[in-house]
Amino acid sequence: MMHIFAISLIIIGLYGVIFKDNIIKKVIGLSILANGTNILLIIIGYRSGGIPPIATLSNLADFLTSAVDPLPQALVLTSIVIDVSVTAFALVLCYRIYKNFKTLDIKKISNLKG
Amino acid sequence: MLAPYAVPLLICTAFALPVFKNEKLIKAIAILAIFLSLSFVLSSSIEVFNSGTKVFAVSGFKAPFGIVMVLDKFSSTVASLILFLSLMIAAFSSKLVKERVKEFYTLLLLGIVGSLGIVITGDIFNMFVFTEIMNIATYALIGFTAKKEGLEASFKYLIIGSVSAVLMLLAISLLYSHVGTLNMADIISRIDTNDIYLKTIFIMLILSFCVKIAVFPFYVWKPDVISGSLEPVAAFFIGVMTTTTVYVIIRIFYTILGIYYSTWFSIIAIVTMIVGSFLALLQKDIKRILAYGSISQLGYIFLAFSTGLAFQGMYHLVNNAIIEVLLFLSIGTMLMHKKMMEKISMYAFLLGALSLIGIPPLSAFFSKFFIITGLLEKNLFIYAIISGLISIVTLLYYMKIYFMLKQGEKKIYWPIIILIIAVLLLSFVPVWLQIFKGVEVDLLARNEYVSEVLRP
Amino acid sequence: MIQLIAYLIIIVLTIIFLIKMIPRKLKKSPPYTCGEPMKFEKPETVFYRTLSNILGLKKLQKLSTGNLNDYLLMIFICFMLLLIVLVMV
Repeated sequence: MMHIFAISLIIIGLYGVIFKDNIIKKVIGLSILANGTNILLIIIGYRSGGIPPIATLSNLADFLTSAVDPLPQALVLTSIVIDVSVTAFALVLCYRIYKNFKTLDIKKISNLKG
Repeated sequence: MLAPYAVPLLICTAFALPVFKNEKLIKAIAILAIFLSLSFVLSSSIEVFNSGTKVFAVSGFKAPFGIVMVLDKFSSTVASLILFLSLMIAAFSSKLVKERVKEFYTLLLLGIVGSLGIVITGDIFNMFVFTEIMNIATYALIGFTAKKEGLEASFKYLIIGSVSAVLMLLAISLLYSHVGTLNMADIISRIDTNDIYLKTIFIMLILSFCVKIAVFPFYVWKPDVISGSLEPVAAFFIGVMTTTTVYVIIRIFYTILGIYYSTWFSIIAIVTMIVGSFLALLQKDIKRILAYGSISQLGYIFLAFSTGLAFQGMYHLVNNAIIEVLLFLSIGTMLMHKKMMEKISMYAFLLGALSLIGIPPLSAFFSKFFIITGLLEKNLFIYAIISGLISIVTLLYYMKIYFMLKQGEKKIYWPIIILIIAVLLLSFVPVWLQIFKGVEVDLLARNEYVSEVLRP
Repeated sequence: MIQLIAYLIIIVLTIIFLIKMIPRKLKKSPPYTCGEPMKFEKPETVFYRTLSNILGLKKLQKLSTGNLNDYLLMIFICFMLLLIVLVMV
């Protein structure tokens, strides 16, 4: 059931990247898209009735039967870092494009064609 | 085995470079680091060719619980190729880059680390991380001059590259939810059924890589991006990045899935070949023609691999990478001589162009000849005829570039001379026949791959 | 045997095209039309233009408009179409 949330975030992000004309809106759409994918990755690791994946000496039996999967959480940490750096670079690029082209509209930033 | 130590060596050099103030020292240290990693990888390749696949477990955690780096013949050949090409590109751009030298070399080293990591690793999520490292370095390198066309090309590639990376991550996460492991050899041993859900996931993964290499429906961004970037960066893009992405696709097809013949992908390859070479005839900008030309040559490589001709495809992959880098670096001398090409670069360009067209006895003639012969042996006559006819169209658009070039005075750039020697050496077929036949044997041996990696 | 013949045909055609690509020199006094001298187009440009008109390549070139939204739309739609087609087969 919770997969619906993540997939709807992905669809909203894709809509923002493909159909919006302002380049800053495209970067925001990209950020939403990446976050939706990260949330989907965490939801994949969920086990119903799960406890956090921290194993101490006293709850080893509970850990084996009902802890959520810790591997997607490690993957998501890496992915969040990558998305932050891409978004930071994209915003700096938007600033440079504004200084150079004097506009933020993608229809006017299309000199290379054919 | 020394090859996995090349990755931390290059990363540490990339981050230690901004400390130094002297520009010549920065260039020297970067080139020395790439040369050292090339020697590590070459020595490991010789070891692999003598004694079989080698597996290196990072931090001692064995597969499938940890990340492993696998060097079999295919990955060691591609790794040596990309390090050799990046050494030539780094040496050439030392003459070109005059300001902001630190940033350029840091970014270039990070790009090289990313591509080397993709080739060596044996774990799918690790491949995604290295792909993103290579992507981020390339986004910044394309827009390095911060003029109008560079910024536009960089933004276009940023959006398209990020969307394809997100789709890749989506496919990897769905694959993990279905299979339960991220190690490539372990995935092989768990996907023995013809499940439709798994088929969708793998096709999504392959298509997201196809967006990056610009095959037929997804090729529209490539000419804009190539024509907006500096020539060494374009050479890095086509020579190194495209080669590593083709490596990933072949790995997924041949080793993980075990599919050696696919009708749909051969149709995509043929259409790519035709569209790329015909659209190159209409362009007026030199770099755009070369970009469409590289799309067309990629169609040849894809056609060879998707009809089971692994050895021929490998030979053409190596030829194409070296010759495209030679072409772009020889065009790059125009930047330094104000619209005139330097004399030896003119001959280098002609050599590369004639080789790709298919004039014997140059190197790419042999690879194209082997591809056409292999297609005829498999009774795919239409593909063979079309491949032959596209060679003629290749001639047309390379001659079109030749008429636009003017000749200048004489100066010697030694990376171009080394690449010329490499192109001439590639035409000694018997040596390469043995090496690439060995690569083909390794590509077709899935079970040996699994047993080597998962050995306790 | 057949591969030798095929490659021989290709090499002969290549040499013919190579010979045709040598540019010819212009004549000395250009003819007049409408009061101004008429320029000769180089044979190469005429050749490429007729070739592209025959093959209808202008329509294919319109696909790459330069606008990023069109690129993304085309990539996404072709991605979904190829995904559905390749899964069904």
